Amino acid sequence: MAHWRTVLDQMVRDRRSALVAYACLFVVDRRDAEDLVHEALVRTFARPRVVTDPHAAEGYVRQAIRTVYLDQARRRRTRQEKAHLLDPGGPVPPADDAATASADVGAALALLTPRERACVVLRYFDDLPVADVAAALQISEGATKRYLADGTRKLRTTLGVDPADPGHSSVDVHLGRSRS
Amino acid sequence: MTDDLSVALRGFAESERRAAVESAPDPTGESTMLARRVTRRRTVRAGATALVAVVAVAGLAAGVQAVRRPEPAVPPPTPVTTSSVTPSPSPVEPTPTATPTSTPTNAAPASFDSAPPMPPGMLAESDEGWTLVRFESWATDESVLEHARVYLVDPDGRVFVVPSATDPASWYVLDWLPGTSSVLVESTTLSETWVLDLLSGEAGPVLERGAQTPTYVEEARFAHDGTDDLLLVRASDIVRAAPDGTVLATMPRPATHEGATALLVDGTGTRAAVNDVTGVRAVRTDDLSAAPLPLPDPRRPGACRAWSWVGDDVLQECTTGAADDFQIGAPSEFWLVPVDGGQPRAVPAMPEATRLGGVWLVGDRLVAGTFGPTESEAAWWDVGGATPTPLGAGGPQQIRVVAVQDGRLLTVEQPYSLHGPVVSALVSVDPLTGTARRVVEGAPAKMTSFGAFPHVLPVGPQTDYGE
Repeated sequence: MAHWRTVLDQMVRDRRSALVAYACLFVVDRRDAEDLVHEALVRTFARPRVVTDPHAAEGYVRQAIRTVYLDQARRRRTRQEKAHLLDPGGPVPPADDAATASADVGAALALLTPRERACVVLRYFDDLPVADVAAALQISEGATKRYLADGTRKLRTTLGVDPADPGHSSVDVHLGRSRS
Repeated sequence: MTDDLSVALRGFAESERRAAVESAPDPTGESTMLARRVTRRRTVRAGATALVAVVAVAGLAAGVQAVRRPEPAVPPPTPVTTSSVTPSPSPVEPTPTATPTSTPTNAAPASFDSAPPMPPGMLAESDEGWTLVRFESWATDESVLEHARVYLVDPDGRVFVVPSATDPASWYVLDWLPGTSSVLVESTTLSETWVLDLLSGEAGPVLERGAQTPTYVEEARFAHDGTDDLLLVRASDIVRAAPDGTVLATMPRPATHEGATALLVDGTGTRAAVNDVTGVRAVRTDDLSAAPLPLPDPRRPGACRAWSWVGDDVLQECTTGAADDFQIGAPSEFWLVPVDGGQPRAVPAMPEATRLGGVWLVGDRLVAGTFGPTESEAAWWDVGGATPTPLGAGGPQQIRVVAVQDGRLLTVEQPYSLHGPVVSALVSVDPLTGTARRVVEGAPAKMTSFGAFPHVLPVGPQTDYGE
């Protein structure tokens, strides 16, 4: 059996659920996340590189998840722009509505634009510094900071996190409901 | 406060992870399905390692006539979207504005499903203007194979089923030698490559066996120089071999920039560009001896990688700035580098590399195409001047160019959709107008494998991490 196949088998067996969870941060719907992970795995192992280490392979797969997600969002946005449809990111609900709504993290992420979502995930889930987020997404640091500012503002508003209260240690949200 | 966002995101991800564990399918089945997709995609890339070929042969006629059985009436004209393009404001990053219009065609595309059997002797009569297609499709359940066949498409777009003596589902085609029934194939289940006679089933010896060995074949094709010799890129060397595997010439295989094709053969089959992290080189394919190829920037030889041949020139992409090594996704510029003498010349009118599908000589024009996952539609540009001139736009963007025939580009459209079904097709594109016309198409399917041969044009290299 080809070595890449061994690594692929190991990744599917041991890391599938973690990769699907990561993809859910971008597409929210778990079925879409599974398809996204499949495409990312195929792209990673189809490239002419010798993938010998599952740990390194996972890094490539996570990059591919982000790339596929942004590519699809870019095509979707272009089609929508040409058809004069609304921005896919959608409006941010007023703070008072969000404060009273039982919003979950998945719904909150869905309010972000694709770039905002990608920046927020890389910064606050992957713990990358701003410069590394910019490099990973091939955008400027200035643009990264803007997306982060807009994205975190929307999330805080929707999730009811008060930025003026640094002692606030829990997020009053209903976690875990996905749109499958 | 940002810690709270981290907590929220990680809590959400953990919840999704637990749910994914509970709903996970059988890992063996899932891995097998994914491995099949990987092998198909690897085969497409491996089978596209040859050159831009500007061959003045009788290509696809303007009015393609579909052959169907039975054929009681001529199908009504099928409107095809074409686009006119207004000039781009930026010479470096062209952004076309397309205005869709409709132009009627003469006939609907042929269908693989209704193709008749190939008449005896047709393969022997074929030449570079013909196309051999291996088409395979999967229904909504990816584990159910619906269709694996080999077809022959003549220059007029008529399609025939090739009566293969062995099951096409057991191998992928890497290349075909026009005028013969010889194909270079790779097993769908094992790391084995061999020359196969489609009609008799006679198989040559296995050319390689086992991955991660010195003889593991990563790229393979016929030389297309009038012989039936092969050019193989193996883990440790590059060889010219006879169909029985006898090594006729060999050279060490250099380290290659990530995502680049190791060996790019020109349209005559007599010269090849070799991607090497220390600098792009050229060799003569008969004995793999070195051929002169200047460097765009002798101070930074490793900053460039080769994309393809454009006539007698090697199209190279070079990372700009002070970097000594080529860097995927970094700002870059393109050069046309002549083999056997002459000075490299910059191509200032190129689109961004991450949008670029390739560059070809179409007639006397230097044509670039932007298509692929970053684009919403294919667009074509004359990049022979100081600034890019929009030519045409419209048509599918999930394509790869497989041949230049009679002023048109023959492409394979293989859409990707997370949800399917999709229709894959052989599509003829006029880059001057953007007109795209389907020549032959498969039935809608969740997933397809579509190889078109001889594969004389390379797939563009990787231009973005995670691509």
